[in-house]
Amino acid sequence: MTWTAHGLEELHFEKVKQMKSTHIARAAIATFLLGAAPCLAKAETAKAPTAKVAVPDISGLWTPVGSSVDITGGINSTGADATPSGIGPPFGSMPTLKGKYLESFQKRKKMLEGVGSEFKTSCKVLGMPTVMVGPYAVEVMQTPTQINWAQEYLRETRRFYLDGRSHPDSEENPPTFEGHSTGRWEGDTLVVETVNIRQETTLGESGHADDALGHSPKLRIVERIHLIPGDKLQVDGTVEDADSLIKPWHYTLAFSRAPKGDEFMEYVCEDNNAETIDPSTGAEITTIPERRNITPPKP
Amino acid sequence: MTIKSVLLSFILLALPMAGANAHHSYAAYDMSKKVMINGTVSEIQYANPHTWLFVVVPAEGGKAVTWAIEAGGPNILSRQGWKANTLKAGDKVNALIHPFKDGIRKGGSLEALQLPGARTIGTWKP
Repeated sequence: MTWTAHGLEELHFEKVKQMKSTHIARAAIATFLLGAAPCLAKAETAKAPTAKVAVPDISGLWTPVGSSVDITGGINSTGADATPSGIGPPFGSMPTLKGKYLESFQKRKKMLEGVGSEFKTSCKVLGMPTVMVGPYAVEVMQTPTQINWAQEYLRETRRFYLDGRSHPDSEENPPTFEGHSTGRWEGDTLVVETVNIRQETTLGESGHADDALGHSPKLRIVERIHLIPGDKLQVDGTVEDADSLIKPWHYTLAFSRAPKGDEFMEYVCEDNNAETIDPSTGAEITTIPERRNITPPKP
Repeated sequence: MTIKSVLLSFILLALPMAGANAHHSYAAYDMSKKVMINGTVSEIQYANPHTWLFVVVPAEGGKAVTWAIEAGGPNILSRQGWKANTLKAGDKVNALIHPFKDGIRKGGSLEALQLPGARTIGTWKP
């Protein structure tokens, strides 16, 4: 068995009503009836009889502010030059966990501290809310009825449904890493509600909870996404979970618009060329010639 | 397989990742130390998830030593101007690295790299 580990990061929410039939949904239908291309959504929405205002266009490539790919922000990074301790919680704030979820967090923290690390990850997708602090570029694809949010790291994609649908029955549908997201425009703010998230995802951390006690099945994340001055995108998250949180947890994340011409790049975790130790034998299995057949240091 | 060995493997395998709040694990490297490497590129693995650069440094009166240097993936480096064809075997480079903790292996994580006739990737502060 070969394990690979990655750096980790962390994330937050708020409450919204279930989306019914909205102006946007009606506008979208009108758009399609007119045979307009989705890329003209903004203009068509404005023309549609039931639409009052055009929604902002948030499509394009965005980079987390301060990340190694934040060229707009003037970051010059080798991708391997960070300090081991990091500069604080990935989301800038931490939730107040309780009960068995707090115990699970403390157990993870202790184990990681015991081996001198702050995180443990694998090629498993980050899931919600962790994907929101994924380290690389984010590509947003926007249509009147759906917005996709793709993080370059692990090519993980969230889908926000804006067509007025409800969340599917969580009894019938298994939870997923990204959960199920519905959204609607409130003026110039995109409000996204996400539920039915697998319990391996954690709150405020970078990695997973192997004991599936990262949060309860009640987890509900509401994000308010809007453009801010300086050609930036801000995500205000509110996380609610009556079983795992003492009180709702809030976080704010910011993204810079990537320079013109910058494209989404492929980042393949499975195509691993990093140093790799077989956990069953302790033997190094690596493609790096200089590092083959060297006994790993004793812990 | 003990829990400790599994965890150790994760730590040793930790891949850098920079987020809005950069969090990296470089448990295999001594991030408090810096070593300057002046040598000749012998091999480049410009690949996911990490780029590896091999630099040969002639040792005084002895055998040359090859340093294995780890950097971010092409998605980070290409945006900084280090493209797939920027470096080739035979190029002279100056690298600033954080060496392996164990002191056995010659290598490290890349803090900064002075590209021939081009910009410096990362922050050059020896």
